[in-house]
Amino acid sequence: MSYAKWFIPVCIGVSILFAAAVLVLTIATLMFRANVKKKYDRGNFSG
Amino acid sequence: MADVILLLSIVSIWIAVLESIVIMSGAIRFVYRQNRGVLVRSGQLDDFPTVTVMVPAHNEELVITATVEHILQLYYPPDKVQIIVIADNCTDRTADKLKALKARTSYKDRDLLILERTGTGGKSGALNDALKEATGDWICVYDADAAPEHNALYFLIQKAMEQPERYGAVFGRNKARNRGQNLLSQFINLELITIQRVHHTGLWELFGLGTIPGTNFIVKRSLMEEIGGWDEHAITEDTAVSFEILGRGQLIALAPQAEAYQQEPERLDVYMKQRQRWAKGNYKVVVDNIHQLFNRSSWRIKLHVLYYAASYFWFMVAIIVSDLIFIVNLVYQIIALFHPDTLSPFQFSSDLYVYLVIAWALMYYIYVLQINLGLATDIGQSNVRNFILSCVSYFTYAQLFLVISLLAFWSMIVDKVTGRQSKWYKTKRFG
Repeated sequence: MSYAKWFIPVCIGVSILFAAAVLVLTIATLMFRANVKKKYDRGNFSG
Repeated sequence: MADVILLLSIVSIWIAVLESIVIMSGAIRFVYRQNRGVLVRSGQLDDFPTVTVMVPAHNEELVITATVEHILQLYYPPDKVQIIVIADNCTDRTADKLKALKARTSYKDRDLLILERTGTGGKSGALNDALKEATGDWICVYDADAAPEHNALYFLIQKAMEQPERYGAVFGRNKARNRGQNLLSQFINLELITIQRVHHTGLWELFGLGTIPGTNFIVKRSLMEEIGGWDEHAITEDTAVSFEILGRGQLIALAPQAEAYQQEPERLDVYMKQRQRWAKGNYKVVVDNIHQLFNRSSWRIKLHVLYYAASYFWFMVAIIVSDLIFIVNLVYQIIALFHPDTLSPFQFSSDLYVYLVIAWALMYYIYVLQINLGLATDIGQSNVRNFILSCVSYFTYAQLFLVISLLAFWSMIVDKVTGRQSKWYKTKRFG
């Protein structure tokens, strides 16, 4: 299939971009969780 | 043909992932900013407006007394609060319970009106009847099972007072009071947290976009009168009103501190009925408003329509198709173990199938991440149990959404073809 020639590089590019964005979001989420946990000492609560 | 389906599936999943990345970025910015701020409750309420709190109740004897007591005890000047409880076509002791509550000496000075009605229109009809009696500048609505926190109304009004000319409505957050009851209520709790703490905050932070939920919100009385009240033919009256408000150039603001507890379904049949009603109502709202994409309405409305259309139509179809491809290929691979000549109908050129798997994996990952961001913002909820539930919910609870969407879609088609009227289904309460 001819479209695969150009579509596969697009797939690689989009996948890398998304993976990078998701990595940043993961770090931000974990940092936020750590901040909140420290601020409210959430080990004392149960959910 | 298989390649076209594969391509469309990959691109659709990319768009869904992109939407999630954008919304989550907004939510993270919002929660970081909120976490830095200090929560202040002012004692100066002299300039605050009058409010009419309306509670539609249809056979709610199990919960109504506790709900109205919560409302009577809200932190807000009592002389500025009118409460209207609508006992709507009740065949149980809802009205008697309300009368007994009103008779208590501690509430004798409160402006509490019990409206017994037998009219049609369901919740919208009940709210419209109450609107005729309302005297407050703002209307506040709580469902009959709501337990608003002490400051909920205060925070809603405080937000409205930031830009009273611009904000037509303000909505708070709802939490599941029975979240630990069983596995279903635990999954619903995760969904509620994700929608309210990630999607709502992200959309509000980035685009100033909000949708009023069915409970725990305020709206200007003058605006509701201008709209002509709640649409008695709408199945999800809240979403329909949201479009009306946005269409008038007013915003629906988020007041994250205004929290209320509500009861969630504890049985699968109750849950399915409730969600089918919501899905059907939202389909109708999308169909009724899709023309807004092509007229001169504001970009906010277009975005709102797109968000709903994508969530309820496009992404649903993409997920169903990609699920089908997965399952069919898996089955054929198993068959091929015994009959090597068997070929799957989904044969793809090159390595394209790998990119569908990567796109799907990204979607799954961000789905779990969103839930865990939401959990991190709610004290006590970010724990190992909820993390495990968030990981398994995609394969279990979230798949119910597909069944619900298909059933609702089918029901909508049958309604259209046969001219059947949609029936308003009231969610069953649990004692």
